[in-house]
Amino acid sequence: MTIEQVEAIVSVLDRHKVDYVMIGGIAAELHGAKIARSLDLDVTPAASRANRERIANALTELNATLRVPGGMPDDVKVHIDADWLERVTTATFNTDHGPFDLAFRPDGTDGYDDLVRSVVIVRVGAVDARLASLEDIVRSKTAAGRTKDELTLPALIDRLAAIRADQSQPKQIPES
Amino acid sequence: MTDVFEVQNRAWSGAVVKRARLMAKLTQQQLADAAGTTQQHVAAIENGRRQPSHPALARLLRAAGFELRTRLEPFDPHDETIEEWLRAQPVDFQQRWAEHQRMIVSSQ
Repeated sequence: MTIEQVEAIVSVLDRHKVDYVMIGGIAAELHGAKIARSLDLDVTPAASRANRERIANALTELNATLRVPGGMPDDVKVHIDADWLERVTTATFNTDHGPFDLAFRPDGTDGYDDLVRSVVIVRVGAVDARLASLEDIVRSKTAAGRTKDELTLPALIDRLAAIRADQSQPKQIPES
Repeated sequence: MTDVFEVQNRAWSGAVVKRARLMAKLTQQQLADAAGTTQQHVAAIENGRRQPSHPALARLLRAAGFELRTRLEPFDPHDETIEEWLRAQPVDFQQRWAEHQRMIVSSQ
């Protein structure tokens, strides 16, 4: 996934006023972690009914279709609306701007309310992306424990240590 | 196209050792000394050039103060769907993405 695609999806989420926190590999990379680029954008949306309606509208604008192994059969049509989103905890889509995934309760977290407490805003092109903190991303990937998570954790821990070291440095007061 | 699962599985043990070492705040030499091996051996495992046996992996993790625990989970097809999506993209996109992956891996 390119940064332009990330920007495009975030701008659609913003336009529909979706409450979300970005998680996963793209969020980790936006925190500066040196990891292989993810092909999909992962977000944790707020689980309220109103927000599910906003997500459904955003998915419509993104021309989202379900991404399932082997592809969706042509004769199976799924209408993605707030009711459908009520019944899932995770969902994977193809969109006009690349793969886009929802996880209402990522491993090791209690979902949006848990992650939004330490949200970090990062500029992506012309939009502000709302990222889960790198600590929370590490927490979730550690809990998930999949092979691909394990592969990224050393780089994430490295980056976290660098961020903490930078924060512990005394800041120079600019000369007036 | 390279089998991404094969690549990931080959890199897994090295990533586990490196994570344990970083969490323990040890250098490769310190971990090697604690585990009774050489720094070169630890480096070779971390960068995937050598695959440790399970007992050897457990020994390294123990030297860093950790142990491996096991749980079996239903297979998650997420990455298969991503692979399918990638194969459906234009060839130049696939090539640029593969090049990006190579650059990241070679810089680590």
